[in-house]
Amino acid sequence: MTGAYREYLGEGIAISWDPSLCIHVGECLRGAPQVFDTRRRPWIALDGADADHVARVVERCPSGALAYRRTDGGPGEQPVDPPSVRAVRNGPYFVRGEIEVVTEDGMALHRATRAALCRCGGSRNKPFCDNTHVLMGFRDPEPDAPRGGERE
Amino acid sequence: MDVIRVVVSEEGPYRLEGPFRLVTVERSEVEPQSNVLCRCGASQTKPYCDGSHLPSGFGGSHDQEASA
Repeated sequence: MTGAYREYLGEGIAISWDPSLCIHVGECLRGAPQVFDTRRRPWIALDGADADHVARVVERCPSGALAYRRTDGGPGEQPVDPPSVRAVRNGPYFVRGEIEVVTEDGMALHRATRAALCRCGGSRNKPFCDNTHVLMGFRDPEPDAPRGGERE
Repeated sequence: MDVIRVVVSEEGPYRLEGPFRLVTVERSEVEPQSNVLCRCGASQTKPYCDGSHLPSGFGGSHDQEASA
């Protein structure tokens, strides 16, 4: 866990949120809008929420800002296996798996099942993405144009 | 369960240790050509490192480490 974080308790599940990792992808808001609502304080409300459903939604969070533990004996998160690294167009790497982020000297920086790592070189929270790529206008090369000059 | 170790080299790329699947910005899965991935944003062969970080560094220090 990096930086300050909050824990939110519900029936059978406890959600933790690390704001220093949150890059506002919004899978939580879309997946369980009654639980996750940024217009409300607190923004996470677990009253009446189904623990299994909330767990699935938390697992969609690509940055790992959201995590959960079960308090009802339900299954905890299973890291993706084998691990995967996805380069997001004009954005970070989304990494999934049993992740250990370490320095060259072997110092552990972070352990997680999901992480968004800076790919643009500009984050102020390296190695984690902090959306600086948006400010910078970081751009991957456009995909090759179709042959024959035809445009879709 | 295979662990993926992401080694963050000082002023340099990510070096991944352990097996991993790689998905490109074109959203297709490819066989990784290398386990050394660009972290500076300047590589001409993204996602792989091509040494573009070398000339001047890129401010790649571990901010997480600095604030710990």
